[in-house]
Amino acid sequence: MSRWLSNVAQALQALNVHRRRAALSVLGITIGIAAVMAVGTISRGGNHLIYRELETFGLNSVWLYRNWNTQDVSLREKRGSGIENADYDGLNRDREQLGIRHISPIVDAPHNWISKQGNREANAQIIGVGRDYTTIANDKLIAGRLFNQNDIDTRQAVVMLAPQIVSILIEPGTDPIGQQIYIDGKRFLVVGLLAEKSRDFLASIGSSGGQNANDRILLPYTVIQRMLGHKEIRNLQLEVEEFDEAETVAQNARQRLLDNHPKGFDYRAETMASYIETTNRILNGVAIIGIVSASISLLVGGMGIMNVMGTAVLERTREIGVRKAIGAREKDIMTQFLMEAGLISAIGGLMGLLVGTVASIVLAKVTGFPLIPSPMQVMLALVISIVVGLLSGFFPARRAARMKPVKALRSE
Amino acid sequence: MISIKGLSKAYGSIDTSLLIVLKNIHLHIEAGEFVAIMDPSGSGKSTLLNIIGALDTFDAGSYHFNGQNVPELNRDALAELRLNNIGFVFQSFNLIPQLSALANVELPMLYTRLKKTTRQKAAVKQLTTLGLADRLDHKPGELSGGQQQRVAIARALANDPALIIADEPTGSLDTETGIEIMQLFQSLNRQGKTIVMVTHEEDIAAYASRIVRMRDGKILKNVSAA
Repeated sequence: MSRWLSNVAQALQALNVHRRRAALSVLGITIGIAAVMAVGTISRGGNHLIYRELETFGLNSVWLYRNWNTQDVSLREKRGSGIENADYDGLNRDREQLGIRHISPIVDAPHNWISKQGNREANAQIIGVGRDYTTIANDKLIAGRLFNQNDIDTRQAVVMLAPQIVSILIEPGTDPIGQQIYIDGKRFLVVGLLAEKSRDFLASIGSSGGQNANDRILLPYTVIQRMLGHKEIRNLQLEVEEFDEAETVAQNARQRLLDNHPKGFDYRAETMASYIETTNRILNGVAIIGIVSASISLLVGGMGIMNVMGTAVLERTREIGVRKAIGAREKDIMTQFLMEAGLISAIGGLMGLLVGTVASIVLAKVTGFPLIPSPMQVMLALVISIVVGLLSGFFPARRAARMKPVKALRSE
Repeated sequence: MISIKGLSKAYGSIDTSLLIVLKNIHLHIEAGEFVAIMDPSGSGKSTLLNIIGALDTFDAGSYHFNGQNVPELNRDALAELRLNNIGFVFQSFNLIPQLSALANVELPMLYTRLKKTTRQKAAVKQLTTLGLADRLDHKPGELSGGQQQRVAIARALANDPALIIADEPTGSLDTETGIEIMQLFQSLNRQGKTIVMVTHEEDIAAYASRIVRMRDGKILKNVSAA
């Protein structure tokens, strides 16, 4: 231990002789490590943000729709969504066998339906859903209750409101639960309030998934069907038991629909799993670009160290000769110069951590990404910087270690 | 202690002009001797000194140090031999400029893996003995020539070697300081150190107990001093 301390002390003294030169190569590593950290922060923050927003759709979700873009023209002739209550009942009955945990019908209300309370009006997304919709779509209740089977079966005139609708329709300072609102002239009782869902980032990148989730009014799908006078379902949303099985479950459910309507309609099934896969591909691509550019700055830093150490070895040839005459073994000389290179990069690494942390905080502020500290990354950055130093110091150090003592002593 | 038989060394190859620096050298030095090697011409004497110090190689002949066949040793073993048995004193002192006097003296003990406290104690003692107690933290550049040479001697003595090798140890010093250093050598010799020294000055060589004279890479004669 004391020998290492002495080696470190000697290395510091040697670096101190050419402070400015050492500082420049320290700077190279600092920039490299700071870049690695900043890239890591952005990548982790972006990841976290995207997943948090994707979660608002339910990570195990599968959507079944009629496919209007089918190649087979005959399957585009019939009107309607191609999904009926009977389809839902069938799938719901065979849930276990199909690997479905929950399933909910979704029925849209026409866009011209106005919701109002007193003289307040809102242009909300009015959506008819089944009992398990809120579970599937990861909706959290902040007050009141969720729909129960009785609401659905007996077509109760009850609604759940998303936060934006509450602020528009409900008189401020009053408890929304138990109040009455009107939808298309019919009276409804507010039974539940949904938590806010952020999809700002998805919306900001122009994703169609960026639709606002905060202006929804949910009511039992049976109620909307009654008001519209039909038994049609626009689409089904499922939650699969196993994330990895999502695609299989989706295709089996789609096959059920095809079987139920021979030669009538075509269907498409979309899974959150496939969206996530796409997202991961994009995020990984971005991360790789970042890592490559950060690695280039580290590489430049490493070359800086190699250059500095190469110069040092040349300048200190006589010192190397003296040390060898005194009895230094090759590994002693090697250790000495590696220590100097390692110190340059370790100091650079520590400063890089500092700069990188500040840069990360600033970047998180600017981008609005969440700041997620990663001790693992800090360790990794330090290890990488020291490895870069040792690798770049290796060849100059070996040259020093292998010098012939007499030749080295004779040099000026 | 030192047994050299038929040793020769040349620079260059047969094809180019071959420079023969040592020709068929026979030299025996017993433990406790103080030998001065003199050579008015050429660099043969320094080459011989480097060979004795296990720093340089040779082309023919044999060299045994304390019974060890030196050419058979690998680089690490040679380093160990120098580390434990030989102390070097140079004309230009050759202290490490960025290290303090104390750190310079500690250096050989760092290579023998001694503990920091042990090293420091020994180095302080050595420097104090040589009259440098108040110069421990000075860098070589802050010391006079004579002081630097005494630090170098302290460093050479650090691992208590049996042999001191000195290449023109007074060459960079004024006469008075040179005499002080020679008196120091004599006293080390009395304490049992074997000393082999190269010089071109007769009055410096006179401090040795034996003078080996060389010319054109050959030993002329061995002379015992008075």
